[in-house]
Amino acid sequence: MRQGLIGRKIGMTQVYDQNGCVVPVTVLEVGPCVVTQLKEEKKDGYCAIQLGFGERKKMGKTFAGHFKGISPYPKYLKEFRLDKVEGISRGQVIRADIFSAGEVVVISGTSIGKGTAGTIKRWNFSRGDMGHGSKSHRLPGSIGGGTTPGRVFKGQKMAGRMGNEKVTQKNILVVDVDVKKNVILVKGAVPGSEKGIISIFKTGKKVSNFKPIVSANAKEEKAVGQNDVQEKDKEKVEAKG
Amino acid sequence: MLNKKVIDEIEKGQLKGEVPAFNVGDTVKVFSEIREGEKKRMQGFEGLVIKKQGGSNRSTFTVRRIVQGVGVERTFPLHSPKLGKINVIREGRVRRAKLYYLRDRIGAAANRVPEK
Repeated sequence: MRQGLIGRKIGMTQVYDQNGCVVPVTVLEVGPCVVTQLKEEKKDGYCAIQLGFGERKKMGKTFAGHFKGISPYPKYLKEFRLDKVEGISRGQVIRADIFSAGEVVVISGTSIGKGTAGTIKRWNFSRGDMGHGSKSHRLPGSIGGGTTPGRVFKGQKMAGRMGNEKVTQKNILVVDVDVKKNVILVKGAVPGSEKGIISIFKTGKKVSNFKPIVSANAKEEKAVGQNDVQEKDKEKVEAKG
Repeated sequence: MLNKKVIDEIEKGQLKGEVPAFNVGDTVKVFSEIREGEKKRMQGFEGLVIKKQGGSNRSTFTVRRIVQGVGVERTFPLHSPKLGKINVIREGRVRRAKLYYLRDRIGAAANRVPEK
């Protein structure tokens, strides 16, 4: 039952907040996402919207039918479960302004693939002695008993493929939202590589003592505000004259 | 297409318009805002700039001084909103970018950098 959007990870940097603290941030391109399909209780047994993100260059006939009337054709599709889909229509565009600074979100992505990894890297096993006659440097050690149980238990942690799987990170703070650029900044790291596709969900939670970041936009607004004051003064002078 | 330019723009938005000009080897007095309960005030820290590092909004510099015979170093983020003015007291002539060799000096030699 979470509203969300599809996005892409751009990279990381750091920003100052108004307390002067340096905040590490991940820059995400979020949306605009187009509603490609509505799923309703009556028809589908549950409520959800299917969102599309990105731009597709080549397309088969099945997708051409699915995207009929939507332009440009989205590349990535994802379904978001909602309590109700009333008020949302197919073809509607949802932008990053559904998020605001100071909000807590959940982000899912595909983690960076590590290839075949040993037990130390994959499961945080301890290393054996590197010297003193030990030859058990990075070996996994015992994987179970002998005659009893006479087999290795299912789910035994061993070496193998690591990463390249769905990872969901909770409690991520939105630091800044730029709707014009479809960019949002979140505090800390986000699963996956740069250019990786992520989905970002609303939680409805807010941070009470949030400090906004120092930004060029804020400075411009200030400058504009000052000009307004000057213009007002001018008006006053003219009125007097 | 969105790319690293977006990050550059974000970092640019963080930069201060004017940053005082000073170099490694200069003796400076740096003012930074500190908060004591409700009160805010600017605290000065005087010493020798022994390093400048980082680019864009990440740049920092380190000031070293000797307090009661003990070397004290403070690193300031150059574009931090808490950083006030930086007064250059004396310009020094140095031949390297990082003055780490001063850390090994004792006594009067610890701050010895010829004037420009």
